[in-house]
Amino acid sequence: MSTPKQISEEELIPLLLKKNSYGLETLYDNYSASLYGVIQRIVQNDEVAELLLKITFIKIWNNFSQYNPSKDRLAAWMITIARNTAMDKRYSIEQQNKGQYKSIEKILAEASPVQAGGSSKEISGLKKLILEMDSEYSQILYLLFYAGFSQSEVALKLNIPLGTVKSRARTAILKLRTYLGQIPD
Amino acid sequence: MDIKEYIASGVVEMYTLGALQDSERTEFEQRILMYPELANELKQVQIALVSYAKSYAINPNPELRSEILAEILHPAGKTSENNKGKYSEKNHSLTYKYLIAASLAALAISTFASWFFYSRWEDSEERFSQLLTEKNQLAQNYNLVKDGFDKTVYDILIMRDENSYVINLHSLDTGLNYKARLYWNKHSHEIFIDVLKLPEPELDYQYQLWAKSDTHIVSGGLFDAHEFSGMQRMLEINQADSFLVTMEPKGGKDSPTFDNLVLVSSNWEGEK
Repeated sequence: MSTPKQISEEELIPLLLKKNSYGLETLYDNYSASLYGVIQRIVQNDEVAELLLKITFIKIWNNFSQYNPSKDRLAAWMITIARNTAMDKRYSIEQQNKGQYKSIEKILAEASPVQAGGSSKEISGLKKLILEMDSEYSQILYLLFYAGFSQSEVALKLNIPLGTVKSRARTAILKLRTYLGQIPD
Repeated sequence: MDIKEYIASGVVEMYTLGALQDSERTEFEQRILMYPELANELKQVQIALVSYAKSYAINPNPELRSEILAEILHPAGKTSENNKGKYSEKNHSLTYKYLIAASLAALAISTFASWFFYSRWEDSEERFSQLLTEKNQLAQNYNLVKDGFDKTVYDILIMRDENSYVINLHSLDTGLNYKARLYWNKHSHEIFIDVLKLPEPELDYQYQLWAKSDTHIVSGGLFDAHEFSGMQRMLEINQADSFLVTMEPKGGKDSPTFDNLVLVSSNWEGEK
């Protein structure tokens, strides 16, 4: 695994538009772990996740001309592609198994960020924040983002009103933003 | 609409988490274009969520890196992994060299092919004219054979005609043994002569047939002495008691030269 490269999204985008191989390498080194984390948590199978990571990078590479920098952050755009790819696979696996992928209890048991070394100071701090956050906020974020549930599914499973799901999710993200130094209006 | 209220509803977070219904998502994307404040909020939420994803990052298997990069950069899997972008210009010139070499090879091949097929065509042309000559020769031979056959059939029909009298002619001098045969149709009065054995007439002379009756003698026409001439049609004879053959000057005469009598007829069936 090559180490992430110090390059901004603004510098990386022109390289990717030109189909530059260094741009692709940088993209992989800087984002593969985040994307793999999303994919692996959704499909919960390493072998499938590796295949889906490959498919995700091929989609990103082939469809890069469709990326609109004025609308989305590059990483967010790629995460959306990874999530959609993984969710599609998960739906088809669920269809085959004709049942629930995993119980909500099992999902929530795995909902804590991995406290591994090698993270930047900022991410280490963010992990700590998530671990210390009230579970009513962190759980909703995890269920929506990694378990792939819709708002109404989360409301149903946690037995809370739909509006509460939205407001808690917003609060959770505002906590992250506050930590990251963003000051919301 | 109050955009601050819209943002406060948590819709931006739901959108970023991919948790909106299709109709809500479409509406949201339209409003991003209308409200810069909303667009900015979206970017901030995305940044937060990207950091959130980083917190849950998992390093994939290190072997996957080269596999994925190779698959994307060299989809056919033919070129080496080290063949990267900075070499692309060199590759281009190399590609052109290959293209030029390939073009020259193609030119050489097509030139050879042109010569090859031209010479083959020439051979074919020659062979064709040979075959045409052979065919014409065969056609001529066929016509000759057919004519001969037709003549033979014709002769046989004359010989087998039950309405014909068969009259043998022989030489008066028994030592010479000259022979001919007449076929005389009693209804149509046609008469044919078949020369069996006769010498070539003297220079400027021809053989002439005569039909003799009680009162007069008439010419039956001139004929050749070739043994292989087959049946020769003579002049029609209505009435005759006997037949004679004399040798006469070319063109024949009105009355026979008895000094040159060659053949006389034997008796025949049906003779009066």
